[in-house]
Amino acid sequence: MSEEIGVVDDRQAVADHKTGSHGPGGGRRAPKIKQGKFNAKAISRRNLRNGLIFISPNFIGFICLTLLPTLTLFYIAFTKWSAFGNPVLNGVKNWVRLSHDKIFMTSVWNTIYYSIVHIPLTLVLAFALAVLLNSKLRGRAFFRTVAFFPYITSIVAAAQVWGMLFDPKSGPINSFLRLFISNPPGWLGSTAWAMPAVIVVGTWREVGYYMILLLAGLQTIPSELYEAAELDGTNGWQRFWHVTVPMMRPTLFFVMVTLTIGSFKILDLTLVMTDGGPGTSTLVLAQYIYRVAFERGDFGYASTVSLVLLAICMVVTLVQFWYNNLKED
Amino acid sequence: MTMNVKTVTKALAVTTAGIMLLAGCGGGGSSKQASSGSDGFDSKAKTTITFAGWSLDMTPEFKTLADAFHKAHPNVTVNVKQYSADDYDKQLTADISSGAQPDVFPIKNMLKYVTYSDSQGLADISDIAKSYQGNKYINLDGYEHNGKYFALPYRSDTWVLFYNKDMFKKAGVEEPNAKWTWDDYAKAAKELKEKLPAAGYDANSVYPMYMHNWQSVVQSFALAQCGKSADSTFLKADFSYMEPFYKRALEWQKDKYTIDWNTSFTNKVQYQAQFGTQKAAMMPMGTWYAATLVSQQQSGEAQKFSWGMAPAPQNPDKKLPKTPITFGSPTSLAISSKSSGQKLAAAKEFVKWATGQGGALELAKLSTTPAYIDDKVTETFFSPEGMASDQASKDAWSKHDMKMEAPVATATDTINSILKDTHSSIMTGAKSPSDGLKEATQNVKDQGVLDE
Amino acid sequence: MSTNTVSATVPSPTGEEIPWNKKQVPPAKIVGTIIGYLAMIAVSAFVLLPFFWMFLSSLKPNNEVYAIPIKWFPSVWHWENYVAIWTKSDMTTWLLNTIFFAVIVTLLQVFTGSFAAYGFSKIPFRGRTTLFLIYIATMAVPWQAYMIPQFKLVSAVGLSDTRWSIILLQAFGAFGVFMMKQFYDTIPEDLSEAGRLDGLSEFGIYWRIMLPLSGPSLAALAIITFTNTWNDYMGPLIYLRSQKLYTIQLGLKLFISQYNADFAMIMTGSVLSVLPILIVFLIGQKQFIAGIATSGMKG
Repeated sequence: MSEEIGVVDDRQAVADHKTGSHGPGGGRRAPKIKQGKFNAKAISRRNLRNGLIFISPNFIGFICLTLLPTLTLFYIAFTKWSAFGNPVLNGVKNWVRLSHDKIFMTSVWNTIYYSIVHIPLTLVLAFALAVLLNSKLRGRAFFRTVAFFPYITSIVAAAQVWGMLFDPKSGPINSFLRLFISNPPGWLGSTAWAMPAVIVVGTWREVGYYMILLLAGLQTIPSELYEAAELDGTNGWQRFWHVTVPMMRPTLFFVMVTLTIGSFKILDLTLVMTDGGPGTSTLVLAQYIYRVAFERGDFGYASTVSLVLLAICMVVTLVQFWYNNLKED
Repeated sequence: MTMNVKTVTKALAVTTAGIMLLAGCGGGGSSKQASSGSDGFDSKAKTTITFAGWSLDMTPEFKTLADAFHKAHPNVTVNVKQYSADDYDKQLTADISSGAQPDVFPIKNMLKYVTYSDSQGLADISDIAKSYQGNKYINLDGYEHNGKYFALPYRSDTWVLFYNKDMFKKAGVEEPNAKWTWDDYAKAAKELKEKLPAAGYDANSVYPMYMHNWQSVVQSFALAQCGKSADSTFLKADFSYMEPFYKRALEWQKDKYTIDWNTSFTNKVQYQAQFGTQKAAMMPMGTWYAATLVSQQQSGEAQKFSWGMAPAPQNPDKKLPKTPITFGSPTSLAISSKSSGQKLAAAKEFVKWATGQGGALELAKLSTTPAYIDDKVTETFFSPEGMASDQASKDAWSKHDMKMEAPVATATDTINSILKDTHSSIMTGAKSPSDGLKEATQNVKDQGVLDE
Repeated sequence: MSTNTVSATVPSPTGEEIPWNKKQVPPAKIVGTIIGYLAMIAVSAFVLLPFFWMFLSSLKPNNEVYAIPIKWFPSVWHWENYVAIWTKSDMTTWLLNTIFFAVIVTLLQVFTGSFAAYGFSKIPFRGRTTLFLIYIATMAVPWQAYMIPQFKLVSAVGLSDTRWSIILLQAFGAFGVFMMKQFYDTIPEDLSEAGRLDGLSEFGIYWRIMLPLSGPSLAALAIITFTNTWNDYMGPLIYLRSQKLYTIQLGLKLFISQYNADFAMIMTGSVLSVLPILIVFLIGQKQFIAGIATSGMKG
């Protein structure tokens, strides 16, 4: 399988090689061969061999357990299948159904709504916290632990506490809001406010997690760079934009992609907090897939919806890829 | 790393190649149906069969059935395997899809009966069903699928009205009876609301009733009592029959007869605690709650008070039926199509025994409501201490016209899952009953499951 | 949190502790530091609230857990829940199983992930962009969607309901590869080039140069993998049937469903299931700092 892919992508590797000096990853030059004869083919073959050796321990497991089952979705999406027996091909029927399915449309919209607010909010907060914790503040070790707490606290407990905090009548949040406005929102019981409430909890839960990833990236920036920049008379803000951000680009790219995919795939939170309700106001795509598959036993249609989710994620990821490369070039 | 359109095209090409490889990989489920019927049960052969159950320590029915059967047939050992109570269907789906299901397994509710029956993972047990023909103690309605039976009921909980006799007495309100409609129910609630505070109950936290947040509390009563067949309503996506039921439910929560739906849902209010700690005087609930209440009163988790079961209140817009109409969701036993030979024969013997009087008596001893109910079973069920023992409760428990919680049909899963959203949007006031139900009709039609 | 805080605190890693570097601290910096502390305290309180509730609830009499309006402190402190859960359940077995799974999976994920990441980041072999895209693409598919095909595959080779199933399921995710690749991309090419000139093999460069440099990121990957394996419920639910293989999440959930309304016990279990991760996290924290020390870079 992997060999095959190698052949398919022959030209790309050469292109990679020629333009390779741009990105940090592409910058690797051909290994020096002491005998002197420079043979592009031999190097390319050697790189392929070495590359495959390095990726294979993970790749073999990945093919068997993730890739193969995922690929079956491309087949199952065109079938009727209740998880039992063999899927029965039914052409584009699932896709026609998808085009009329208002619940599906609602769930796409809800997912985009969640992502558009959650992603920037989480990224900015997590980055701010990471920068803060990368400084010499006292108590940062304690705070790093604290910030990671929401991610490890049981989601059931978290949902429960937040449910109480958001309680429209007796909850502390509305008691506080009543000091300023007479009619605070109904939060989880209101179709307009349930999603904002879910976003708040989602952000609360994930900020610490992304902070850890960003912190790990910050830790690898050599302090010499800051010292040099300081000698050039730059202020903190300039150093942040001209040293931290560019050095963090690969990490930021990773965080952006996982955060995006994670937001589009959000499931457990709405499952526990609102179960998609009231009505379908917090029903997101992944939960719709989950419902179609497990509540309705319709794995064929669930696969169809999954492919749409996959396509949306891929488009967004490719745009990020493209933007990332643009910045690097 | 550079990226361009070609790369994407290639990624797609590779993907397509993968699908070709996998075209034969998608299936693999069992299609071999073990021949059934011909193997006779040999009571002398040593046989071990596996049996799925959940929450084994607190739900003793599985081990009890297994042990009692072993006692009657010493050569057959029934091995109970533990499954998850909450996610049983997910585990069973995985099991059946790979042909690894146990010899005998429960089907938790009827919503999934058709799906499982069509899975080819269930053996045809029509021969056992035939032995119950004309038997008035067990109801097999809804089990025939394409002329065959794939499971038989062993437990059958129906919905009744639990009420707190002490609270009624102290407030001086007349107790529920078999002639009650939902209007009488509301009237009693109004009276209780006025009189309970004077009888010493906290006006802020004690309510006349508790309507749990499940969709069945409104929707299944409506379906059972609307007087029309599910084929012309539910399965045609015409849900207008629910409207009066929703209007009543909304009124009750507006009048504060019950905790409102939103509080109940977001705070995960436990119906056991509401009724068990005397926070509600009446509560429509399934008969399984009787066993819980008895044991919680013994353990001290629930307060000690005297309680009773009355038949579910009836539809005020219809003529009062002779036998009270309510709904229920039987739990059934099925046999794996993978079992054969002596295992199959023993499994059948076990299912036959468990769904009949033998199993019913064992279940009744545990305060579990069996599907097979004759006088002896009723007597056994009401004998434990702490159980309601008046004749009215006995009648409510044993005499009723039970309809299915939802119709047994292929489209049920999908319709029910759409109605779940409808329920929350109506009960939170996001949509009016008529708008919400109309929207549900449209959503069901969009799914394209009706014409199949 | 204002961006001012961020900018004011960034320059502080320039090493004020070094005596000859000491200079007048500008007032803006002091204000920034104070805001930083205030932000930290406020966020801590906010973040810890649900955990406090979880802990306090585990000590409450059962009917106070979901009392309306919310009741923070128990009327009677039920410490015995913490004893009962050990005697009533197979907690020890579950813990041992979960530790086993989490450690093996973390080791495999960190090793194979960083190994593959090196291939993707530093060796320009044919097809790597395509392969890498495929890795990322699979991350976009919810597991529930391909769970059944995967289960059939694993069952077909007879590995369901074995320790292998959980290990295989978790250890080869795309996440670790992606994460480590991005971190390797930040490491300047000159370093590995220098290694090559010194005659190091590719493996030598990975082992001698890359690994020591990636301490903080390896620690982050380890913490996250460990946490995810520890908290996974659906994987064990679908794959494991034998009680001797139960993990803590699966065991707890099944145990709890037996006491279906015993919320104090549920919270006791939740608290206990979090504690081991905290310990791992605290150890991982140290690794963050150790990682910086070995790499010779001062954070």
